[in-house]
Amino acid sequence: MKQMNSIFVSIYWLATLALLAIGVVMVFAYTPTEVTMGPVQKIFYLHLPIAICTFFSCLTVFVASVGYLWQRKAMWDHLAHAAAQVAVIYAAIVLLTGMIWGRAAWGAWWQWTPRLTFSLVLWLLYVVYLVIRPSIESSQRRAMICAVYGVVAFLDVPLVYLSVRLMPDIHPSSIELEPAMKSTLIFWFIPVIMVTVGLIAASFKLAKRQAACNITRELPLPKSKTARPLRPTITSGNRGVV
Amino acid sequence: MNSLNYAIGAYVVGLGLIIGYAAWLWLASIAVTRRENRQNGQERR
Amino acid sequence: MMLLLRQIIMLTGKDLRIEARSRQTLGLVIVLGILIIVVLGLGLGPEQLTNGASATATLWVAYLFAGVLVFEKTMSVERHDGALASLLLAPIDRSVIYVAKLISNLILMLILALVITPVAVVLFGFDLSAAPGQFTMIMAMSILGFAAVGTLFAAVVSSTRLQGGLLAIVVLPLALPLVIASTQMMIQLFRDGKPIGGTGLTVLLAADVLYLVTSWLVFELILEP
Repeated sequence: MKQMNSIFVSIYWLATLALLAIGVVMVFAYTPTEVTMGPVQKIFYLHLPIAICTFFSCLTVFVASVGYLWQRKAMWDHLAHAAAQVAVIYAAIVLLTGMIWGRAAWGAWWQWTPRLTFSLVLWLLYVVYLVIRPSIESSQRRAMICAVYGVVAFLDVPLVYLSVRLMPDIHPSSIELEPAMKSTLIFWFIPVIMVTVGLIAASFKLAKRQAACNITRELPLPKSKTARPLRPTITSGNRGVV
Repeated sequence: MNSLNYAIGAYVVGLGLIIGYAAWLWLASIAVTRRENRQNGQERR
Repeated sequence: MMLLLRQIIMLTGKDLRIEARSRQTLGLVIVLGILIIVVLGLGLGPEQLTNGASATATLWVAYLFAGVLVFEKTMSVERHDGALASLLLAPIDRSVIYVAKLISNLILMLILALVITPVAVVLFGFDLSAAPGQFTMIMAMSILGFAAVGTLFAAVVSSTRLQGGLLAIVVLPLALPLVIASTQMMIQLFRDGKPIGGTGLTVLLAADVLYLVTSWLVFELILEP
C-alpha cells in the first residue's frame, strides 16, 4: 500500500514536471509575442496562474484556521501551516515577477502602484504567519494564535484590495489575448494547480510526521556512513518548522 | 537589457522558487525518515 | 440590554480606575509617542514635514507603536493575581469582556491621540485648517479599527510569555488597509485639496465593521486563563 502511494507520488511529480516543461516551451516557442508590450508580456502566463493559486492557498489557510478553532485538532494546524508556506512562496513569486515586469515596462524595480502594493502586503500578511510560529513554545497556544491570525488575515485580503485601489494607478494594463495566447494561459493552469496541491499535500504530510516524531527543525543527516549523526533536538514542545 | 531576458529571468525566479521549496521539503522528509528509523531502532550507525 | 450595558460600564470603569491609580500606561505611552514623532521630525527634512501626507504617516507610526503598547498593558492587567480567571468565572458573557476592553483601549488611545496630534502639528507645522473635521474623522475611524484588532490579539497573545514584539508583528500587517486608506485620503485631502470621496470612507467603514464583528465573534473562542 505504501509502495502504491509512493509510485503515485512519483508519477504525479514527473507528470507535473513534464507539463511545466511543455508549458515553458509553449511560452517561448509557440505563443506569439504581444505587440505593444513585447516579450516581457510572456511573464503573464506564469504570473496569473500563480496569483490565482496564491489566493487558493490563502483560502486553505483560512479554512484550516477555522477548522482548528472549531475542532482543536492538530491536523488543522498542520494544514494551515503547509498552506501558509505555499502561500508565502507563491506570493513571493507574484511579487518578484510583477517587479521584473515593472522593471522592464517602466524602468523601475518598484512603484507604489495598487497591484504591486497589494502583492507586497499579501506577502507580508502570510510571512508574519510563518515568522511568529517559532516564537511560541506551547504547540496548542501556537496553533491557537496562528488560527486566529489566519482567519483575520484572510478576511483582511479584500480590505487590502479595496484600500490599494485608492492609490493612483500609473499603468493600468489590459491585454488583448489572441487564441494561441489564451490556450497557453489555460494550459499553464494545469501544472500550476498540480504543483499547488502537491506542495500543500507534501508539506502537510511532512508536518504530521514531524509532529509524530516530536521533531524540531534540523538539517538532513550527513550521507557518509562514518560521520556521526547530529544530536537529536527533542524539546518539550513542538517548534513549528518554518 | 533585452525585454526577452526579463521574461526568461522571471521564469527562472518563479520556477526556481518552486523547485527550491520542493527540494527543501524533500530534504526535510529525508531527515524525518532517518529520525523515524532511529526511533524505531532500525538504523545502524 | 441594560444589564449588558451595566456590565460593560462596570468592567470599563474597573480598567480605567486601575489605570488612574497606577498611572503605568498612559504616561509611558504618551512619552513614547512624542519620542517617535521627534525622531521622525529629526530624520525628515523640512520640505517633507509640512506635507499633509507625512503628517498622517508620522501619526500612524506613533499610534501604531504606542497603541500596541496600550493594548499589551491593558491586557496584562488581567494577568495579576489570577484576575482573568475570576473574570471568566463571573456570569459575564465573554463578548462583554471584549467590548469593555475595547472601550478601555479606545479611551486610552483617544487620550493618546489628543496629546500627540497637536505635538505633531506644532513640531511639523502641519496646516490642518483646510479640513480639520475630515482629518479627525479619518483618524478616529482608523483608530477604531486598529483598536478592534489590537484588543483581540492582545488577548490571544497575552498568555504566552510575552516575547517582545509578538503583538506588534501580528497587528501591524492586519492594520495596513487602515494605513493605506487613511494616508491616501489624507494625500487627496491636503495635497490635492479634494474632499474625501465615498470609496475611501467605505473602505474604512468596511474595515471597522469587519474587524469589530470578527474580533467580537472570535473573542469567545480564545480567552483562556
